[in-house]
Amino acid sequence: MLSIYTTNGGIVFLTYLGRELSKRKRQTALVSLALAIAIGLVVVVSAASAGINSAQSKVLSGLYGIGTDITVSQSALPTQGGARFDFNGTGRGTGQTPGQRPDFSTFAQDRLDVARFSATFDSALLQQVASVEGVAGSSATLKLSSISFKGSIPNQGATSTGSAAGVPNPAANGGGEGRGTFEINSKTIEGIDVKGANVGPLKGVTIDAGRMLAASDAGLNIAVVDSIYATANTIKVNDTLTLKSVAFKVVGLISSSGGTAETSSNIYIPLDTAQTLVAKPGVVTNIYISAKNASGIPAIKKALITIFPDATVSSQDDLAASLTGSLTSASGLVGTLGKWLSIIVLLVAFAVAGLFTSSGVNRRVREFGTLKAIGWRNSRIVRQIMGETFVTGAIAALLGLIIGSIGIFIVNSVAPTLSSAAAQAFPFGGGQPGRFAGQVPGGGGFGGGGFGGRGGPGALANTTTSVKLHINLSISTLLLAIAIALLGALVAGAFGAWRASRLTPASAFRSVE
Amino acid sequence: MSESTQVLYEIKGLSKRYVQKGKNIDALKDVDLTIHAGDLISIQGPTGGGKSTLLQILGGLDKPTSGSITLSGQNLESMNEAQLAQTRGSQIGFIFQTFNLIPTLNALENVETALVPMGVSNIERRDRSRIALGLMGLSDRENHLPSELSGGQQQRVAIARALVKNPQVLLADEPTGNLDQDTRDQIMDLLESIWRDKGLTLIMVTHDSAIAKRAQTHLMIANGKVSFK
Repeated sequence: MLSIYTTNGGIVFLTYLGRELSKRKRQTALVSLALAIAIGLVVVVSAASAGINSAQSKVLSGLYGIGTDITVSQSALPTQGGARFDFNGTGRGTGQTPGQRPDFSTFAQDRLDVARFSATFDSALLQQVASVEGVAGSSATLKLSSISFKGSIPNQGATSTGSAAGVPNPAANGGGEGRGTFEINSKTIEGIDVKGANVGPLKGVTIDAGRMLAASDAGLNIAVVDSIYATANTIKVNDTLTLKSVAFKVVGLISSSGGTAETSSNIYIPLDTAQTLVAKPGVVTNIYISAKNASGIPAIKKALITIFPDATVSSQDDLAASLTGSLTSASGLVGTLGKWLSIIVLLVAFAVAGLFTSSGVNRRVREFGTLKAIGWRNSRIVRQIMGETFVTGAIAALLGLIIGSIGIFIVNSVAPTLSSAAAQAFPFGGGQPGRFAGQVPGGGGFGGGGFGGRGGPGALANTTTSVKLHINLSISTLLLAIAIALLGALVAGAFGAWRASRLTPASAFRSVE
Repeated sequence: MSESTQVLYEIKGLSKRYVQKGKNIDALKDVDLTIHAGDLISIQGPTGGGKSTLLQILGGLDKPTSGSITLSGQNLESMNEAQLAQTRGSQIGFIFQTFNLIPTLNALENVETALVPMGVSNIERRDRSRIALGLMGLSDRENHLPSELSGGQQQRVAIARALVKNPQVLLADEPTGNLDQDTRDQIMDLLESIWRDKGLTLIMVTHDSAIAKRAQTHLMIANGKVSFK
C-alpha cells in the first residue's frame, strides 16, 4: 500500500492522516485510551492465567513428575479394622485410687503395606499401556504406607477405651490418674521403576544431595528421601532408614521442581524392592503416562479406560481440577471473572472506538463529499479512514502494553502466595511424621488387650503447597495485545469507512445544505 | 451559446426526482440543454428550484432519474462510480460556496488533493500546486491552514484546487455567496480571466444578478424547468 502511495499521494495520505489525528487529539486519546485499558486488562489477565497455569504445573509436577500427561490409579475401600495395633497387655484393671502411681508397659509396632485406599494392578498391564497409540512413555509405581506406633501405657486393671490415632478420650475419666504416652509416625514410601523410566513422580525433581536411584539399584535396599521430610526427620545422605525391620541406605535427597512443593511420597525405593518388602511381587498402584503430543491425550485416555475399566484415569486437566486452595480460586477468578471482564471491557472499547469513528465520519461528511467531488475514489477514502484508525490502534497497543506491564509489575511486586492442596490417599496427613503424646486421664487406666484403631483419620489427606504467583509478559501475550488493538481499530475503522463509502457526493452536499 | 465550438454537454429529456418524507419531489423535469466548450453560463432561480441538482448532475455527482447527459460524448448516467470519479478527477473542477477546503491541510496540500487521483508524482504534484497557488496570488500563503486565511483567500485556494488539473469545465455553486462585495468582484474578475485565458467552460449557479450578468448565457430554473433568460 505504501509503495502505491509513494508515487501516488503517499505524502498526502500520511500528512492528511497525521493532521487529522493531531487535530482530534482528544478523540484520538480517548479512543486509544479506551482500547489501551481493555488491552492492558487482557494483558494482565492473560499473563495471570499463564502464571497460574505455570503455578499449577509446578504443583502437579511436584506430585506427578514433569511430563506426566495421564495417571492411572484405583481406589480401594478400606478394610474394617485395618492398621490395627495389638497390645499384649494381659492385666485386668482393678481401678486406681487418686494419688496411686501406675505401672507402665512399653510397646512398639511398625506396619508397612500398600497405601490405604489404593488398589493394585498387575504390572504386566504396563505393556498394554505402552502399546496404546500415542503413548510416548509409561512407568509404574507401588505406593506403600508405613505407620509405626510406640509408647507406654499404664498397667492398670480398669478397662479403658483407647482412642484411635492416639486421640485422648476424656470420657475415660475414672477415679484414678493413669497416664500413658504414645507416638505415631507415618510415612509414605513409593517403589519406583529404576530401569530407565522416562516419566513418573521423580521425573524432573531436583537432587539436593547425593544421587537419584539408578537402574543398577534394582533389588537393593537403598532409598532417596524427599528433602522436606528429611529435614523434618533429620535424615541425611548415607543415613540408614528402617522399613519393616529392613535397613535402607539413604543415597539422595530430592525436592520437587517447584521448590516449595513436596514430592508425592516421603521415601522412594526401587520398585522390585518395594514389592518384596510387602510380599506382593508384580503389583503396582499407580501408572504414569506421557503422550507424544497433547492432542493425542483424549484418545489415550479413552484407550486406558478400556484397559482399566475400574480405575481412575486422570489427564493433567483432571489433575488440575482436583487441586483445591487459593491457587484454584485464583485460577477460577482469572478463568471466569477475568475472562468475562476482559471481553466486556473489550466490547465497550470496540464500541467506543466505533462510535467515535462513526461520529468522526458524520462530522466529515462535507470533507469526504468534497474529496469524492474532486475525484477521490471510495477505496482511497476508505484507506484514509482505515489508516487513521490503524494508527489509533497502534497507539492503543503501545499504551495497552504499558498499562499491562504496569499491572504485571504490580502483581509481581505484591507476589501473592497461593496455596494448593491435592487430595491423595495418604494416611495421617499425607505422610508427614505424626507424633502424638496421648494423655489418658485416670479412668482406671488401660485394660488388657484390645487397643485397636482404624488407622487414623487421614483417609484422603491433602498435600498443601504454597506457590508465589509470578507472571510474565510473554511474546504470545504481546502479540495478542497488538492483534486485539489493531483488530479493534480496524473494526471501528471499517464501520466508519463503510458509512463513508455509502455516501454519494451529492447526498453529502445535500446533508449540509 | 457559441454555435461554432464543439459540444461539451448534451442533455436530453433529463429528469431528477427525489423522494423526501414519502413525497416525490421533481427537482428537474424533462430538461433539454446543449452546452458548448468555452461557454460562460450562469444559472439562476429560486431556492429549491433545481439549480444545485443540475450542477451536481453536470458534475457527475448525481445521476438523473431519466434522460441522458453526455460530457464530451461520454454518457455520464451510464458510468459506474469509479468511472464517474475518474471523470470528476480529470475533467471537472468544482468551486463551492463554502469553499470546502480540508481544514487540517494547508493551502498547498489542499490544492494537491486534486492531483492525488490523477496519479501525478509527488514532485510534479507539488510543483503544479505551487504554480496554481501563485496564479491566485497566494504564494506566500501556501503553508497556511484554511482557518488562517480570509474568505476570499480560501475561495482562491479552492479555485486553484479546481484549476490545477486543467479541467474542461469549471462548475461553481454560488462561488461568491459567502464573500463581501469587494472580494466578490475580485473573485469574479479572477474567474472571468481564467475562463478567458484558459478557454475552459464555466458554469455558475448564483443568486446574484450582478454576477449572472457577466455570463454569456443566462439560464433560469424554476420548478425543475430550465429556460433561457
